Amino acid sequence: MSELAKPFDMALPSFMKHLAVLEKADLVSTSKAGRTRTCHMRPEAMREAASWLEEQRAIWEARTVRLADYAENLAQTEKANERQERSESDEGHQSTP
Amino acid sequence: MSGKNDLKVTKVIKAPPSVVWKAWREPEHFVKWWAPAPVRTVSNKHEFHAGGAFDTTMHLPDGTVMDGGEGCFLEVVENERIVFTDALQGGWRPNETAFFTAVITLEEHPDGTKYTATALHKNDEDRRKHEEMGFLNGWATALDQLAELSKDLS
Repeated sequence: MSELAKPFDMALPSFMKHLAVLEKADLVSTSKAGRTRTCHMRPEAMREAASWLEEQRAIWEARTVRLADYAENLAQTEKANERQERSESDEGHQSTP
Repeated sequence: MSGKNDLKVTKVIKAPPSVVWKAWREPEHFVKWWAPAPVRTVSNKHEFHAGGAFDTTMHLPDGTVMDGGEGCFLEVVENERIVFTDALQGGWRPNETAFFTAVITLEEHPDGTKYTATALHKNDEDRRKHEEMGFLNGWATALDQLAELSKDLS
């Protein structure tokens, strides 16, 4: 573990605290042999933590925003078309007494 | 909402429910917003009624075509509610795998429509299958690289 801490500009106890957080989150596991504690990464746990659900949420959120923009434009266009049709039919009424 | 694999997105859309409905119902409108640009959505089947097939393919600018497989509309209530799933295909025929059911609701709102999309996901095995199919990228790719890197380090 001290080997792992070496490249970091951090006191060993602080480094241990950081590792403890990772261990608590199941992202690393540690094992002790004699006086040496070894740290193992658990990339599979990180993969789970990457949260496919959040990814799905992002897809649905973006999709909903696109639908909103599209529907709002569509509503505007339809309103404009209706207005135009109405004014055209009004004109029609005026020209045919 | 109770399942831990559920998600819910809500938005007020400044258009009446009938217009939001039309954007869902008509394939010509639907393909315009379903996937983000520059991905081009092609609607192969959009049978907008209970038991109807739902099938789109995504065309990427590099020519890659992603086939989402055929899903099924379970419930279609005009201006109110759409339920669809990838667990079934048209005619309620079961698919090999199932991943989600989506429930879309439209409600009248003073500003237009209150739109809610709820996605209910199955977990674990089928999620893993989706991941293997390349369904997830970004994070997954980064973590694969990290896993490789850690293998090299150990």
